[in-house]
Amino acid sequence: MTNENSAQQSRQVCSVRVGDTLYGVPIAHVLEILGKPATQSVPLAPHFVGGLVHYRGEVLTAVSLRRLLGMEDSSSPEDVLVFETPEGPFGLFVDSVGEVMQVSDADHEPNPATLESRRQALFAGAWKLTDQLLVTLEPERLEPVRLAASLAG
Amino acid sequence: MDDLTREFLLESQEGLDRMERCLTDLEARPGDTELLAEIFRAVHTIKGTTGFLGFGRLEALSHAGENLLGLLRDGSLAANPEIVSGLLALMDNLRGILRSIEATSAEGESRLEDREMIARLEALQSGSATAAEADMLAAVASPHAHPAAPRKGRSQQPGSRRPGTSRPRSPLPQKVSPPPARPVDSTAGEAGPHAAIGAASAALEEGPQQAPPSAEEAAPLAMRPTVDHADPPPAEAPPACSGGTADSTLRVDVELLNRMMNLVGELVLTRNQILQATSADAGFALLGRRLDMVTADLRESVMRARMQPVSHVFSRFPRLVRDLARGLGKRVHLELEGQETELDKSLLEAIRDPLTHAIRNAIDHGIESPEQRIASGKLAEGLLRLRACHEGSHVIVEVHDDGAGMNIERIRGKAVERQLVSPARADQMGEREILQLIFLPGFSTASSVTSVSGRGVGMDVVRTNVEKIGGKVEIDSRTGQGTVLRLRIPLTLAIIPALIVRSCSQNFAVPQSSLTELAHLSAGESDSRIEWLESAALYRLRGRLLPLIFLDRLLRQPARQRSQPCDIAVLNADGRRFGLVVDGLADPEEIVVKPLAAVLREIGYYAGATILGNGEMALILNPGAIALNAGLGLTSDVDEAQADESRNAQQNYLLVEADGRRAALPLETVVRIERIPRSRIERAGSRPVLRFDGALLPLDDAACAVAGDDPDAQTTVVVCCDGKRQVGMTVAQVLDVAAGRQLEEAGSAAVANGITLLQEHVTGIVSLAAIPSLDGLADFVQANPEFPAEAE
Repeated sequence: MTNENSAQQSRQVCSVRVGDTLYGVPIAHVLEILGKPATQSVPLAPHFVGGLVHYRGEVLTAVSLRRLLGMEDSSSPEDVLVFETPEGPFGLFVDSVGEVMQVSDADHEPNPATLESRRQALFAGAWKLTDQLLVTLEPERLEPVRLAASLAG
Repeated sequence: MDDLTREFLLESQEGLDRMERCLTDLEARPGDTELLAEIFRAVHTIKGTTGFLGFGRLEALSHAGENLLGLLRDGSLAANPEIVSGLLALMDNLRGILRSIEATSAEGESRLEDREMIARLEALQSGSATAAEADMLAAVASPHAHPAAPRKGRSQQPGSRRPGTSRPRSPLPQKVSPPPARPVDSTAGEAGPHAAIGAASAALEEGPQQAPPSAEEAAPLAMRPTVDHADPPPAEAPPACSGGTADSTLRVDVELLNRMMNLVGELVLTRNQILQATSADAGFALLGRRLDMVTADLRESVMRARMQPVSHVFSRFPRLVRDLARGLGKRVHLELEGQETELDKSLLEAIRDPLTHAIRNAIDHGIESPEQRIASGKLAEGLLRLRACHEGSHVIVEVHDDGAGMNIERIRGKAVERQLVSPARADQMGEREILQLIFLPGFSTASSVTSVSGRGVGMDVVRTNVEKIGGKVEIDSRTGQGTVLRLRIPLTLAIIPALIVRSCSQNFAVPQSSLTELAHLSAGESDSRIEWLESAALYRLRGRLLPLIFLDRLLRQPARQRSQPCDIAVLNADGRRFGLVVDGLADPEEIVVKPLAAVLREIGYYAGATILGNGEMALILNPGAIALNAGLGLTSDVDEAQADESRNAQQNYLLVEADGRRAALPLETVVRIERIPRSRIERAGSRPVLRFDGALLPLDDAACAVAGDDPDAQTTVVVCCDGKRQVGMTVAQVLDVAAGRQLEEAGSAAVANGITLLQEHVTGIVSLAAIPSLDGLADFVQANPEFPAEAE
């Protein structure tokens, strides 16, 4: 894709907040947003698994972004984003889901080299908003199977 | 792939399955014309359709088979093992091509193989019957051959003139090009003409000496489709192909059924939630009950739609047994029983391989060679019996051989040699436990590796596969008399009864199938009754030590306080008994098993997750994995099993007192004993009923609890299973559990029904079947809208 084309490319991004940071997930990847659902923790599960969520008759495994980032568990109920993968849907716990924003690919930049390696693997760059940065999250990088593999290796 | 081809594949595969069944039967009854007709039809249908779809290989092969089958059907050739083998081989080739078509939409290239096959079939045609003999045989066998004869006359219809004319041509080694015949196809619009042209055009090099019989068979053959499709003579329809059901049945995608099952599962959950949320509101009670009944019915229906008779799996075994027995030089007679027993389709698929393994084992290791059998005073032909039957919520599939049985000492020796157990341990083991060793990976007693078995895989695969679907494998063997392998398969996978237990305020579901009993320890008892042998916790259960596993510790949950009340769920996971210590018990529930993501499956302790009636989620525990992980052996199983056996000789009863009398309830029917206030017993018309577990129970008010004045007084209800339904009985008190002895009438020695000897008293056994069912209650409710108001 040439620069000229990507400059014109704009997309809708769902903004989510974890701690003080604002993250953005391209809305095309989001199957559904569950507002503060009941959750069930799974003893002995890999650390990054935040718990189970009831989603349309299925039991969904949800990854905790806080735990992935090495942060303390949230004390209040969290929202869940549902993503589709070829192996079925999975969820992502975030502190709260915010508004949908319009961002342009021209404002997107890759991860800085100085970013800690763990986050290098999780983040896919960031969009420059006027007053702050919107960290790009790609659902593929957060798939439980992939996380389990990367932690094992 | 277009619909037509797909339809053709399905039909052909079904035809070949039928053919396989019939072929193995044919060996036993070589003169059975109905079998021959059935086989012929299967091959013929394939040939007819392939000509039309343009699958040349299939057409040529099936044509060659048809020629041979024609001779057999006319009686000019008698079926012998070589012919059956040839036809079976042909069938395998046809299957291979069908698979290739399914995968690639093309037949694939394998001309050489085809030619060999065709040559083999032709050799079989000429091999055992000369033309003259064939004529003679045909004359002799003509009464049998007649199914074909009347057809000739009947099918000489205007529409099938062309097939008639093709008759003299078919035996000639000529090439009739299909194109001129095509117009006939389109005008006739029936399968008949294509088939006829196929027959003629695909005729391969046939020796001139076969001309007379070939001409004979070509005629009925060419006309068969007309007969089949346009004018099926009902008398001829063999029982195996129940043409009558074709109109009332329909193929449904398994995916769709799975989806329906899933949705019904959801409905069950929603129903549970509604019933819980509305139980306090009388106005909703009626609606709740109706919803309950409809949901139960719906669930039953969808589950039934997924059921298939085990004959789907059994049907391929005659062939397997035949091939194995021939290969090993043994003689085996296969008996199939209970073929109509139905099982969930996915489970049926899952037991296919284990059963195949078990049959291989039975023939290779179990049944002896004819010489050995005669030497030990048995019939030269071994008996292999495959039996399926229902037993409660399970289907039992047995593989029984009357072979040499297992040599306990040899298994013991082998297990030590392969270092599966230590010599000291092996010496301590009882027979039953030794038998269990054959399920260990890497175990094989075969003295040499044969093509069939002896590589040390097999029984452990059988066990693993059966356990994977929640089943169990049992083995029983008597030296010199044979071996019985018993697979115990749950009826369905999707919904299982489970007990919900709590640990660290989290729910876990324990499948009822592995739950044997429960013990409650009060705060004081939890310290004194749990004993410690170093780090191993033990509980004395009727004088025997039961190893305990603390669920919270197992799952590394925050450790619980000492001196808290707790419950012990006594579990039996495939012979490994242990007590699971939990904080508390919630209700038993029927749960819908939801799969877990791969990362959570890997933990191993969970068999899935579920959503409970109250909307909370629960992880389903896998008792087998927990026991294995804890290193629990089958140590305690031997005595327990023997105790079980001796107990089984008598039946256990729950002894109750009702209305001043003592009565006995068969213990295995008792589901639960509840103390409830009298007010919870309601009336539907004149019948007392109880809402229990979200369902409605008909009650036998033996203790006259309803008549009592004080609605708050407690009464005891024993909930029992009567076949598929549950019924309740009110009793004044539960006295004891005791073993009953059968009573025989003096003189006649007839066993007395309905009474038993309990604790030296003759006691009547409650007849659960006599409790009226709730059938027609819905009508009653509809006719009496004020019914819920009356209920109190």
